[in-house]
Amino acid sequence: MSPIIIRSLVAGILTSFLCALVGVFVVIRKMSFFAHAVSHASLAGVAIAYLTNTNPFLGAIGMGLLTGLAVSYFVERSRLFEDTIIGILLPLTMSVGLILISFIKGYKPDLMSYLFGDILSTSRFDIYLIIGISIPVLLLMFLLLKRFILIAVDRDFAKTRGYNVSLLDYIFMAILSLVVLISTKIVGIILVSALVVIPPATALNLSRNMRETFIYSIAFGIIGSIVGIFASYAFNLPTGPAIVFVISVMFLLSLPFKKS
Amino acid sequence: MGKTILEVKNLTVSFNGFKPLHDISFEVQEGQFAVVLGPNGAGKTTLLKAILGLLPYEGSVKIFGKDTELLTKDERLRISYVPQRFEGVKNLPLTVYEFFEISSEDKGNLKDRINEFASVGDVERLLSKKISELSGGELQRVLIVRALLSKPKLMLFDEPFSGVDKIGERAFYEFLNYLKEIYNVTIVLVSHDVYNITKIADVAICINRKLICFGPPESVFLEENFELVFGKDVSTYKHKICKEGGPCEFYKEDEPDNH
Repeated sequence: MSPIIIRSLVAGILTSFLCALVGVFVVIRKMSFFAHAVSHASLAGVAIAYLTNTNPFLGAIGMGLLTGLAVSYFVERSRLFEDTIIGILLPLTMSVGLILISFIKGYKPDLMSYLFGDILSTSRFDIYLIIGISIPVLLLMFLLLKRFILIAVDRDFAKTRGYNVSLLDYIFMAILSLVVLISTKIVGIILVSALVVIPPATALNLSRNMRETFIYSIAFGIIGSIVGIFASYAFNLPTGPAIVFVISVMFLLSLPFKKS
Repeated sequence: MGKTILEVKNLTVSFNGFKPLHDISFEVQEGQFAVVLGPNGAGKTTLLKAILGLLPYEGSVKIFGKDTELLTKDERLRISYVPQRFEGVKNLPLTVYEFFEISSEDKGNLKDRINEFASVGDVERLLSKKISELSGGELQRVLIVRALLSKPKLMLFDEPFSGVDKIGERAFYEFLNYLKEIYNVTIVLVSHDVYNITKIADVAICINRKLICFGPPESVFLEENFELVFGKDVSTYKHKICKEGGPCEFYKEDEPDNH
């Protein structure tokens, strides 16, 4: 197997695992629009990185993380609903990104690869970055999983237990932002929310309890990634859309078996 | 008299200039069954939420002799709350057992604790059921068992009988008395049920955005206090109790000749 495919598989499996794990909370807490905001904001980060001669992946992560935390901050401090704040920040950051890209002289970044992903161009540095982000994210998820579930299910009860719910929210938003951003490499800005939403949604159709929900979500995410990567390689298809197509078909197939 | 478990002093809650609660003060001793009585909009839920720190307030709330901000994590676990209705996310494949798991600290043997209190609360047969599949009464039982898992010393209930029929309500009162007797739990409960409050409560706290009365029900359940709590249109009727095969009589304390 070629090193390109191996790197693609490693990146795909890792990011799908994380997206599927974190995505369960995204679906429960109705935060899929948040994932859109963070991924779209990353375009401004890419542009800033090119203008400042830094790594565009790092630029994307920095800007996306900042946007994610900004959404949390404004939701807490203002009277506006989360979708309104996102509805403001998403087009703002995307337009800033496109304007900044127009200032780039000489080589302009390939917008299509950022919009729809380019997993086959995953470099060793990208893999190290993905692994480097995955380890602390997985550690935090392992340590805080019960608290995140409790906050998602019964926020007031979590407060009465003495949990710092605001801090835990910020931590979760940061984790979600990082996971979304490393996944833009695989499926791009436009489709990344599909990786976060569709596997958990499929899992919720079939699972009998929360444990099964997490296990099925991760399984569907990873299987979708692997099948999508091989299908794109075999039939010369764009990889990101191929992955999203596979996981979408899985969701549609799960509908007749949906548990009431 | 036992030690003071809950002390509320000059508690005031304000939202944008509106005060749902103003200058409330009372104490509840260890092992007492205290009932908060008041009409809709009197601030009963606001009072419980302020005590729990879920709402900002002025004044002082002390639990176990300490300001609530100074309570340790273990002390916080000794305070439990059963809301009027479950305001969390219900449409999840979350089983009752998992609900108990995520709501509990891992100290001690969690599985044994869940089984012990599930038995006490008669929800053993519900452990593998999803929260979304429970009836109103079943969900209330589950919320009570959840509140018991941390072995609390103080339990706050917000109208736990809404959605429960009268027979279920009687069983719940007996169950709460059982908790009080066996586990020495101090209970603060919001209720409209004057009849059962009179029979069961050690102390009544009557509020209508401010404190109207505080003390043993037999001392404070006077017509003038009920008028202040519920309004001028209230009427009070004393119950006659009919014993099997015998005459129907008032309680001895309520002999009409005494008034």
